[in-house]
Amino acid sequence: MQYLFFTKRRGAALLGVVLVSLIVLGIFAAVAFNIAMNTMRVERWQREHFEEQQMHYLARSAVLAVGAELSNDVRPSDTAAIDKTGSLNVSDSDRGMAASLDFAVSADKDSNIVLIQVTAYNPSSALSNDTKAVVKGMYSKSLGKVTAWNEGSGK
Amino acid sequence: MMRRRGTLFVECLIAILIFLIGVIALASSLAYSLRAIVQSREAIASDLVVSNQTETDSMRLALSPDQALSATKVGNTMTVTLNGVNSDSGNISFSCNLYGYKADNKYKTAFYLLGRK
Repeated sequence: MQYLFFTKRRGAALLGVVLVSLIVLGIFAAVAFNIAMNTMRVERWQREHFEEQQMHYLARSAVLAVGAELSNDVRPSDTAAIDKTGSLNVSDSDRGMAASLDFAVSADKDSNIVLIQVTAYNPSSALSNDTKAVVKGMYSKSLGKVTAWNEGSGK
Repeated sequence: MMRRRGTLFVECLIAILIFLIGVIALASSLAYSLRAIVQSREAIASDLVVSNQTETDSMRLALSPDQALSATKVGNTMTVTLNGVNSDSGNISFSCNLYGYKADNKYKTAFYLLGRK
């Protein structure tokens, strides 16, 4: 140190101090950048979570719509087995949303319960291609409404 | 060795310049981080608002599936047809609308519900 400050190469000391300052500043900048990157990672997770939630809402409301339709079409006295499938594509060009809904309605012969299953997924998801919401509803023929739920993720 | 007058001054200027570059880089990094955090907070807040609206209407649908929803209708009325397979030969068909609950944040978050017409 003494060599740096009291010889004719005093500028070297100054440059040394500046370099050390720069390293310290670099560490601070790296910490700040790391915080920003983590924030972005959390945001991405949040986006994926919301897309999954979006599919859940769609699937849940689709189960309710099928249940409401069954209350018109299926009577408690109907004893035949039920086995129906269908699909629906929904989209909102304004927000770039597209989802596919797969329906499956089934009931055993003489059963009071009709199982409604709707699987909702976004086939063109930019976040994760395998995010699926699977919602099952138990429709009671005697009560004429969906009485039990089971929600899951097909991820 | 001869030392030219003013060399130290030039070295100081260079040092200050390097130091300033570092400070500017740090300041812009911090500003970027803070902006990202604030935007994220705002996005989460508006996401929660539409999420609550969607949840409320979803619950209302569960209680009474044919009631009108508070959201705006998206697109045209669609028809769902469930075809019988195996021993089931009957079909079920019904019309429904897509309802959107939208937030005006940077992500353009939107949730949707299907409502039977």
